[in-house]
Amino acid sequence: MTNVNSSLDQLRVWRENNDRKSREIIEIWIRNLNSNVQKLGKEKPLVLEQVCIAALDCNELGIAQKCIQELYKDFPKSLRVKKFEAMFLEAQEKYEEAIEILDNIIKHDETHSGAKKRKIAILKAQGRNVEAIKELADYLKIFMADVEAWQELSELYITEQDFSKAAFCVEELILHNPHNHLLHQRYADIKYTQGGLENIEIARSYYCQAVKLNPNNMRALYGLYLATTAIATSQKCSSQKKKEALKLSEWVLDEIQSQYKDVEVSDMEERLGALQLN
Amino acid sequence: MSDITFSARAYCKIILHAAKYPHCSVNGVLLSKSSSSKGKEIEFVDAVPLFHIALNLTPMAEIALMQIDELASQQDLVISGYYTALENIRDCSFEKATHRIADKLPSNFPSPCLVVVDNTKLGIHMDNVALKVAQFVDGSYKPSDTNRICLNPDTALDVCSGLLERSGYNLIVDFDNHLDNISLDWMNPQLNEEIDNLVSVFD
Amino acid sequence: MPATLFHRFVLTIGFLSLFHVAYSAAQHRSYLRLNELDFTHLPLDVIIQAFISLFVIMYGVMNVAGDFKEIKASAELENRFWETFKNVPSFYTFSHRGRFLNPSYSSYKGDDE
Repeated sequence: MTNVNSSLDQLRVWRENNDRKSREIIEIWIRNLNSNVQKLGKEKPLVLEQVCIAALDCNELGIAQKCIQELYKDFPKSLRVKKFEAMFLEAQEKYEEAIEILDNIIKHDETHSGAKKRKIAILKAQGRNVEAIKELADYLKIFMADVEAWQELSELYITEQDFSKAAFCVEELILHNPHNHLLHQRYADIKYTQGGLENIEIARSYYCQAVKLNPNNMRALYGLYLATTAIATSQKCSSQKKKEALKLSEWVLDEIQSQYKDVEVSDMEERLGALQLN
Repeated sequence: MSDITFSARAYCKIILHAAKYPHCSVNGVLLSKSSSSKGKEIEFVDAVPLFHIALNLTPMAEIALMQIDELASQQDLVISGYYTALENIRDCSFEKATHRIADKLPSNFPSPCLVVVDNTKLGIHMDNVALKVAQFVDGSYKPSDTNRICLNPDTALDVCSGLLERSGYNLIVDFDNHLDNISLDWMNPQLNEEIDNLVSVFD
Repeated sequence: MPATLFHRFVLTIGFLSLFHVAYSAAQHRSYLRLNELDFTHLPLDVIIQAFISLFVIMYGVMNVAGDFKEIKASAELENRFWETFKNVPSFYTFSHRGRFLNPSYSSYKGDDE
């Protein structure tokens, strides 16, 4: 029984963190939960959903099927369970049948965002990224507050290297979640990737904001270093601006070095030395 | 016949990196001895796994390459190849795999390689090399014949299978892991040891 | 820190004691009315007991209600990483190399070819 409880705790932590540790989830399921389905308590449907997705990830179709059957026992008419049936078909690459089920769900409930998102995911799975982007943009015209969808759209734009549109999506995300350092850092990353002095200056401000929100964000610290050195060595900048940038870059380098102070990694000095040469 | 050789370290790191994040695109760079930079023959002695998150953003790649270049040159190594494994199972085309790093490589090394993991050939027990290689010749990357690719030692496939079987992918650290937790070393000293051990076992 | 049985017990005692104080105060008023005396103040022991039960309840509530959150709005987000933040479950796709790396897959991979 304690095994079941500790497994449930572990699964809950991963669920809340959005961890996609599919192999580990399946291992826990086989080891402790498979034979104890009745003991899952009030978390049962959530755990079954989580295990089902993990099973599809590892292509453990037997486990996925069992989860879906258990869910159907408790919720025979649920559209949410039906969506898992579509995902089950997706994992076997039976995309047309999956779309048929999803269309059925949408016919029953036109506002079923889950099914609409799955249809977009299917396009992605087929490698039709451009169409997926178009569908997702249409979806966002209706469900404008769907943070997950904005995030997915930004990732898709980044894979397609359409950085200005990716930046727009991240702006939208920052509006929804202004205190998230990851978003500020990602926005700056995108702006830096776009290049050009103006964009790099924007990147510098957003890296600064990210470092302010979380002084331990290494990506933001390194990014701030790159952005400030780029400004300091740029030929188009006024000397006043260069001086400021140089000061900031020295500060960041100190900051980075102090982050590594308590860490035991070999050749640390050489690794950081590589930054200073430039 | 000029060959493209992968050491056990290089091959295992590529495969383990792809295995650690089966649902992400991953990339990294390959290192070879700087003394052997002439001709098309090339032996990759090591690999450095880079990213599995947002591959196309450049700032962290710049940082990573600066540091790798510095450490590599101390060991007389040079960045001479770029590897990637794409997210989608059917994708192993070189067009989708090209990356800014791959475009920059020729300025660093005369005939660098672009390596793509062939997802469909992966497995816990592999009987052939799950890589596709394109070499930079006359201004562009041209696909190389598969029988030019060889492993050194030949047992590298068994070593790799051995690592996969015991979930060796949990050992590998890429630059993204390092940025989330700076005490993790992307040079993978622990994994190197493990690979060397296995190589001597299979000898 | 989860609420322990001890803290729940302390909270219950606190509330019982507070009700007892209220009851004592009411009794004191009815005693005054019966003896036709003027009300000036509550007896000292009632006041002291009221304060003690207030503090006992405060201690109990703080421990039963759960952990405090940081005042800084971004504090909670500091422990989030791209590693987990980038995962969007509703857009997961399954056409990736995971299936080939499943130990039980290699057995029927042979049939495919």
